[in-house]
Amino acid sequence: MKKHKPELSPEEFDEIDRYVSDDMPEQEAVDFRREMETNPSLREEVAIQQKLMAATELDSFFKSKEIQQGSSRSIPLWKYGIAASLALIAVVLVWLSLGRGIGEDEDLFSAYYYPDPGLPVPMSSTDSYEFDDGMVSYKEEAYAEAEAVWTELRRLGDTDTLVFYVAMAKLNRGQAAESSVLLDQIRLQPESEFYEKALWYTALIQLKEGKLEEAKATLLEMRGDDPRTQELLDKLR
Amino acid sequence: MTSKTDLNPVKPTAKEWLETAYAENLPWFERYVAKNSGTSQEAKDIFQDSLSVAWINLRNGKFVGIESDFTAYVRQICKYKWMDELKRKGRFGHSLDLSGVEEPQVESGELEEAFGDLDVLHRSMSSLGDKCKTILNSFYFLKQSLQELSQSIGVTDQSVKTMKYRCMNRLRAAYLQLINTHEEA
Repeated sequence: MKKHKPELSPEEFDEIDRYVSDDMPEQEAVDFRREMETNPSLREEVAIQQKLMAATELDSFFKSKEIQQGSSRSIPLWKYGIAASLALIAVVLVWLSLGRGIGEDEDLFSAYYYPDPGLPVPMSSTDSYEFDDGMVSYKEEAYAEAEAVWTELRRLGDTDTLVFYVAMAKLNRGQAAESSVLLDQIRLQPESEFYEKALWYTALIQLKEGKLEEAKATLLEMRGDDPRTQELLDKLR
Repeated sequence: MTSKTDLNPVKPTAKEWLETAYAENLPWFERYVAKNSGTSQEAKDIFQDSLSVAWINLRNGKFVGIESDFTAYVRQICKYKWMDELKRKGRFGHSLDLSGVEEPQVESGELEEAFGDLDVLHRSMSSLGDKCKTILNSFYFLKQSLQELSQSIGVTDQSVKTMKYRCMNRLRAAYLQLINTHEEA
């Protein structure tokens, strides 16, 4: 089995990527090829990147063909039968849950809820590498993955940033009650840069839970000038 | 026509070359398979894998040539894979006459390895999230610039660059893990 390093550094990736994408000035490409001749692991990494790049191109190409022509792979009829049954069950479950739960307050929650967009992810941040990796997952809407990374980091040292984004990951996964507990921790820190956001999302969770008066009180605690706060308060009055 | 080299004199654009190879070869291969005891769906499935292997070989320098050479290369791989499929069917009880089927002019050992690798690459791609796929598609297939992409998804150029790096590192990690699992098995 060949041994590969677990991860390429940003600089290594950038260099190989520019070579593989034919985006390297001629002289630099000549030097790079010369280095490849004497460096077998670099040759191997280039070969891997060439395959991965080809795989992404093919994935995009065949997806575009599927969109033009419908699915390209044959699926046995019995699988269509199972899929249809599952779809029918899903429709019935959604219909039942809609019929039971959604009221005016939850409509307001849906109208005002939007996932927090997350923080920018810098290229070389060795001190916060894991946090940024979690942020990439978060931005990919892979909230469970982001939550797992950040929860592990919280064991090494808790910060308001970690608490807030774990709360957001949970909320985006539909775990409103657990998210609310974490947001309460931020609400105890008025100096936190996430304080106002914590109030906003707490109010929305209270709205979702039908706690109208509590939601109003939480919104009234907000000191910022976000017009949505007043707009939502007006609708609740 | 096919040679190993670390110099790649052609700079093919994925979108154009794949489009041409697809348009020129798929109808031909469907007719070819129909004449040789196969269905249209079998032709489509085998064609997709064959075009993929040809494309990977072009990207890693195992195939070097101009666009028309590439079209011919795809046909050779399609024929090879169809012959292989007919032999496989024969092993599972169908009695097939292969005497009329043309022998393809390609190196079979290398192609077998490439088809195995294709499966690993498919599974590696499936492990990526939609956002990563969108970013990589924009860079490598649509050839969008950093600025175009950052504007379209509403983040900074630096964030897009980092996401591309991290997405490719994830794809690489998934690929290497699958390769290692495969080698250990």
